[in-house]
Amino acid sequence: MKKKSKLLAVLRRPLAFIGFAMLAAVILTAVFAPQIAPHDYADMDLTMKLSGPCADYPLGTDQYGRCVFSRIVYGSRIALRVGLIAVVIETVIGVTLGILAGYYGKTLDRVIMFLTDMIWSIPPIILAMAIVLLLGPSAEHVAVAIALVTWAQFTKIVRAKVQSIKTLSYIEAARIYGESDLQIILRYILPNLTSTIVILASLALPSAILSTTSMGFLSLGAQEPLPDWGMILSGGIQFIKKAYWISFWPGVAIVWTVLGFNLTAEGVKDLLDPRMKV
Amino acid sequence: MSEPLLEVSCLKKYFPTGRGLRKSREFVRAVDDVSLVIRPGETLGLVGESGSGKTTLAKLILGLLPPTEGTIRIDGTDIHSRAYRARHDVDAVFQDPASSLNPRATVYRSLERPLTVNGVSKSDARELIYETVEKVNLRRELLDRFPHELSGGQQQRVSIARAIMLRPKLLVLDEPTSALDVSVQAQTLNELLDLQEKFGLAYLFITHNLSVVRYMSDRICVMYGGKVMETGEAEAVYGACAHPYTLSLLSSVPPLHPRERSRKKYLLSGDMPSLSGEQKGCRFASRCSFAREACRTDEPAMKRMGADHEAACLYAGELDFMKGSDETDV
Repeated sequence: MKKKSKLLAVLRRPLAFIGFAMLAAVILTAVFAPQIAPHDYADMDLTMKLSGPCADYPLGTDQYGRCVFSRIVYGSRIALRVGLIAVVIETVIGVTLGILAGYYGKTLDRVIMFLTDMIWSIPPIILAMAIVLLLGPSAEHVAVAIALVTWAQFTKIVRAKVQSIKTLSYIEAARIYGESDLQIILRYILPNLTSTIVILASLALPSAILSTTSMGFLSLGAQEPLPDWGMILSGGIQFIKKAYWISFWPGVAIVWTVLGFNLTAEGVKDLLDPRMKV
Repeated sequence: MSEPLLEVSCLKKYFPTGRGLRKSREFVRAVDDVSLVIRPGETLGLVGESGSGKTTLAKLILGLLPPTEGTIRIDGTDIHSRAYRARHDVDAVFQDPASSLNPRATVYRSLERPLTVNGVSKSDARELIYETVEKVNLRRELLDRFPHELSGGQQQRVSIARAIMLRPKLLVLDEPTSALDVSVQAQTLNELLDLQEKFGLAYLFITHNLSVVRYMSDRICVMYGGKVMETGEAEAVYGACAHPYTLSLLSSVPPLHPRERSRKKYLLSGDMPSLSGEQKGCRFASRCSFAREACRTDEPAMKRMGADHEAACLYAGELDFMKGSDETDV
C-alpha cells in the first residue's frame, strides 16, 4: 500500500513520468516491431535508393532502398537485447565478486580489488573493442564485451555495502545460531542488497545501450543486414549531404532510448531510497 | 558452590596492528589474561568504559572470534572442541534493536530461522514460536510485521525471543537496554529477570550503566584495558570497592541527593592509553590518582579481599578512599 503510493508520487513528477513514457514507447516498439514496421528490415527496393520521406517510406530509404523507419523499429530489438544481456552478465559478475570481496575480506578482497582497479585503469571502449575483435563481431559478443569492461563499478559499490551490512548485529546473531557463510550471504546479505543492485542495474542499462551503438558504429556489433542503430548511423554518413535521414533518425532513436532509461533510473533510485520522502 | 556453567581461563585476544607487508609484531591486547566464572542461573555484570575489552570478551564467549590463548568451557566442554559443535548453550542480545533483526524478514521468519537451521521441523517451530513470544510479552499479531514496523522495545523483545528460542543456558546481554527509552528500559530489565527465573538462565550482562548493573547482577566484574580489575559479589563491590578504578567509576555516577554533591570525586580525565605494544605495570597507573612508583613497573596480581571478592591492585585494601592519595591528587 505504502509502496504503491510512493510509486504514484514518483510518477507524478514530470521528469520521471516523461522518462517512463519514453521507455514504454521503446519497449512497445520492440515488442510489436513486425506490426509497426511497414517493411521488413532487409527488404531492398533498388528503384527507391536514397529517396526522401514519402508515404510508403516515412523516414526515407538508404543506399539499397531499404526502409529507414522499419530498420530503426527492428533495431530497437537489438539495442534492448544487447543492453539487457550486457547488464545481466555484468550484474552477476560484479555482484558476486563484490559480495565475496566484502564478506570474506583479506587476501580474496585484495585479489578482487586488484582486478577491479586493473579493469578501471583501461579505457572501457578500447578494451571492449579488443574483446570483440578476439571473439569475432556479433551482437552477443558485444554484450559480453561490455559486461566484461563494466562489472567493476558493481563490485566496488556492492563490496562497500556488504562490508557495512556484515557488521550488523543480525548477521552476528545468525552466526551464533549456526547459519553457514553461504546461508548468511543468500538469506541475509543478498536480500538487503536488492535496492542497491536494482539502482546500479538501471543506471548501467542506458550506458550499455550507448556502448552497443558505439560498437555498431565501428561495425563491431550485429552484422548486415541486421539493423543495428549504430551501424545504420555510420553507414549513412557517406551520404549525409544527399540523404541526411539515414544517419539522423537512428541518432534520434539512440538519444530517445538512453534519455528514457536515464530519467526512469533517476525515478527508480528515488523510489528505492527509504530516506527519500516523495 | 555449584559447578560453574561458564569457565573462562587465562583468555587472551591480541589483534595484530598494521596491514599487508608491514604487518608488525605489535598487537592490540583487547583481552589480556581474563579469567571468570558464571554459575548456572546467576548474573555476572561486566562493567568498564568503551574500549576496555567487554565486547571482545563477549564475542570470544559467543565463539564469534577465535581466542589467541586460553580456553572457554561451557559445562566443562571447550567451545572450540569437537564435542561442543552441535550444542547451543550460549546466545546473545545486542545493543541496537534496530540492527539486530533482518530488515527483509518478518518477525516470524526471524524467530523461525534459528530453529529450522538446527533441524526443528516447521510445525514444531510454530508451536515453540507461539510459546516463546508469549513468554516475552509480545502480541501474536506482531509476528507478521517487519522490524521497521515495531517500536524499539518490541524489536528488543523479538531479539530476546530469538535468543532464547533454542533454550540456551547462558545469555550474553551486550548493553541490551542502552538504546531504549528509560521507561522501556525498566520494563525490559524486569522481563529479563522474569525470563531468568522461568528458564533458569545465566546472564553475562555487559553495560556501562552502573545503576542498571547493580539492579541486575549477582556478581560484578570490572574491566579496564583488557584486564579484570575487580570482581566480586555485587553488594561487596558496591559497598566496599577495593580498586581505585572501581572507585572512580562509582563516583562518576551523579549523586542522588544534592547534599552529597560535595563528596570527594575521583573522576577520570583523558582517554584510555593505547593497548598496543608491550605493557608494563598496572594498566590503570597512568590515570590512577593513587598511583605510586611501583604501579608503573609491577604488574598487580589478583588479590583476595574477601569471600569471592578480588581486586588487581598492588595496594588493594591499603588505600584510604575517603582521603585520597597524598602523593598525587586530582
